[in-house]
Amino acid sequence: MDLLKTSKIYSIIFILFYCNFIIGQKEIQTTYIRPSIVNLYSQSDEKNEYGIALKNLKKYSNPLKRFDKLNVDYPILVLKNLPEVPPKPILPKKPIKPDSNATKKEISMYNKQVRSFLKDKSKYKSDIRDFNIAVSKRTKSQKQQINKFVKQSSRDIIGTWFSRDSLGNMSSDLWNERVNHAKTDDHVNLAKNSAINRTTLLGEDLIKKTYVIIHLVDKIYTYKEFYDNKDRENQILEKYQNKKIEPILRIKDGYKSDYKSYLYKLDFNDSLLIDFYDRYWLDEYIKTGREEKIADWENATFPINYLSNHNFKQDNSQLSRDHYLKMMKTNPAMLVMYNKKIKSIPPVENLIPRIGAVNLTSKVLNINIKNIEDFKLKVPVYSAYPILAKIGAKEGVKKNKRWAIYEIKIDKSGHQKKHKSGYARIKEVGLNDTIATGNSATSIFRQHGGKRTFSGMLLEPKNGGYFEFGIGNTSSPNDMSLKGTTFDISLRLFKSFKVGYNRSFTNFSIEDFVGLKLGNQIEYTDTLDVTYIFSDTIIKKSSDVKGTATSYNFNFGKEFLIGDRGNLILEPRIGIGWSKYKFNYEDLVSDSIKEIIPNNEIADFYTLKSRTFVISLAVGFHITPNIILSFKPSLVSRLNYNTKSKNNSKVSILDETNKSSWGFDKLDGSITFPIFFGIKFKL
Amino acid sequence: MVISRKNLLSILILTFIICPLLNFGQMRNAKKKANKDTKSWRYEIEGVSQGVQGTYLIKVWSFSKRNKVAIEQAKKNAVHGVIFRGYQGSTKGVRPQKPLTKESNLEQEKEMFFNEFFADGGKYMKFVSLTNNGAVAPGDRQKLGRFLAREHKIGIMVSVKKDLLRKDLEDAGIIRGLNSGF
Repeated sequence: MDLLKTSKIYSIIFILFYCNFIIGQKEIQTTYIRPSIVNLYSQSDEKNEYGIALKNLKKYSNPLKRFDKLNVDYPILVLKNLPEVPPKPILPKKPIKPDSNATKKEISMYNKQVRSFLKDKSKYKSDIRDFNIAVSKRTKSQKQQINKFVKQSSRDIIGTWFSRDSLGNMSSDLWNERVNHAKTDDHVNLAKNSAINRTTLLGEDLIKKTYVIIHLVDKIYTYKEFYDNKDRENQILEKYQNKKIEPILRIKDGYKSDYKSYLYKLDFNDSLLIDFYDRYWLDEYIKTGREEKIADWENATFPINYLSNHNFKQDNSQLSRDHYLKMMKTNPAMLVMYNKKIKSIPPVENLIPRIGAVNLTSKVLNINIKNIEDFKLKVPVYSAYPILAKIGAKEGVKKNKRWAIYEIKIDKSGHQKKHKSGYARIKEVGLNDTIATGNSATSIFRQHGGKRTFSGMLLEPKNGGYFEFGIGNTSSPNDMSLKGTTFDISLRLFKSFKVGYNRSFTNFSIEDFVGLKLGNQIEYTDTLDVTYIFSDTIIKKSSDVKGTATSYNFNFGKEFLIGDRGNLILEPRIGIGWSKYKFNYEDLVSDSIKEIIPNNEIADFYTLKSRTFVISLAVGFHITPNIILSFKPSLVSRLNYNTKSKNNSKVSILDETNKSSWGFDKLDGSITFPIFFGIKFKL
Repeated sequence: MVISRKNLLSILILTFIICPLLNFGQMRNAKKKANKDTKSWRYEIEGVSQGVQGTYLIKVWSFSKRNKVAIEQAKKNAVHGVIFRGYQGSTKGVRPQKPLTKESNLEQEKEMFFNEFFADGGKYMKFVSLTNNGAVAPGDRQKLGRFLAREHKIGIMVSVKKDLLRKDLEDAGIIRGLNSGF
């Protein structure tokens, strides 16, 4: 623990973290070979609902498009002798301590409750320990049985890869079929010039990328059971609170179900393949030693590694009669409608066929898509420009999605390191959902900033780039109220449209200001209905004023990328917003006004606000793929100003010909041309 | 520091003029450097797979940033490699191959012939073809070195018609036939 208190440990962590970025890998995986997904199923109970859930899981569990499904005919696993888990123990809330006016009887009652509470607490401690042990025993038992089952299934998985039949004969039919589906143009073109059968080589790679997901239907229970358990917990929780516990409202009817999915990888390698051919391979031409090989096969298992497990829940429910009855009480006007609803509630049993109707396989794969290298799509740039890559509908890629472009660097020790050189978005998805011929369709990418791209660079999906945040300064010599520190945020919509928000603000301090005047006398009626009339219309003249000028707008625009690399960006935008002066009124108003009118209402008098229409053209240049240098001239049309006062006392500038360059001469409508210069970050 | 609008405009104009000029200069330099590398035959060669009858399927690693340049150099380098260097075997079951000639001075002795043979658009092109339309395979574009010493090592897969090449060189009297020693 002392180590944690020293700065050394943080230095070590920092160095390790930094090294992670600077040290390269021996060889970076640059090709995507379609992983094959095997689904296996198990249930922890033999009840009818569990069987239905399992049947539905089988029907709905399909992998994403970038994966291939390998159907292995293997029985389901019913978990046996799982330890029972008792209901979760609950610790009651502490008894409420009586106040100083409490009677002796109440104090005695409290003391009795405290003694009982302490007993409960001690029992709770041992119960929760037993409960946790039971949960962990059950989980361990589940995992052990599943591990054993998956290990046994490895033989049938390999058998499926080699199309093993009931006589023990194997063939490469499925293997060839899979290779045909998975091969790319690179494989085809290489095969055309090669004397070696490339199918075998790719087929071996495909087997090495076999993943097994076993789904377990862990628990199915009704909403009634769920609410009853909640009532039990509440009863215990409120045991010493001296109040009657009402059962909670049964809003829903139906079923809740818990699932667990375990992910494994078949650990198949070249030496295992050689061993497999030696010990187990049989075909119709092999006449001798068949019995031995068949006997060996019966006991065969292949290494399979556990990777992760995931918990999922499903809710199959409908609103209950109790819910509608409650709604009738709270909203009697809708009585007829709720009556109809009650009459049309289907029997809760109708929900049973939908239990397990969920694609858990795609959920497991989606969770692991960033963690497992084999699951990450990657493709080399086929040619540039336009950037073409041999990937498309077959891998399920989507239009407008962002991909990162990488080049591979070799460091001094000969290790490879990926270096991001830019981003690109898919402009057109290639329809490559056929067997590769050597001239398959390519997807077209549009580069969005970065260095020049060349054939052979690596493309990998990298979601993001939807949000941009900019900071800079706006200059506006003729109307300084529009100048100042500027924040610019925008959100990408669809392909290249953007919605944004832009805000500039600055503080002003003007010496010998010409003054502010009121259009009319201020009439103010307070909460007691007393009306005050202030006679002065001139509030202050020739004094120093301070305040803030803010300008903000909501805008909509479209992005145009210029050049192959898309480093130059033009972005015309149109927006609507407001521009306002907010004077510090403390030194401007008389004490009599301050005494009568609340501060926020005085502040409103001294806030001059105009509606603005903004047209701008942002010119950006990518310094790095994520950072843009931005220059944005705008046209701001400002309408006649307003103040937020309730009555007719509008504040105006005393002398509108004032040349202070703070734009007071433009308050009745004007056009100004501010220029923004700043930096934007793509997130 | 305050940048006036006038200065800003000048900076932008200069940026737009200088950037394309730099780019053009870079392209010329790339070609020049690659030619220099080819003259000194700076390349690496490795077997990819057993080629179809009468061919070698090899990968040639050339040094250039630009693809077009690398492809052209790769073709020359591949033919040169087959004639003078041969290549090592690989763990992927590719057998090593000896060069077509064992005479170490042949290139100097027949300088005139080989200058013409390896000239741009020269006869060497008859014996070499790209296996994947010149596309660089994943991982076959690698950046080496840092800053000024930075360069790209690009691997291009080619098929060399070694039987035809041997016959052509034998007919021209550059190398001796396989049976000439007996």
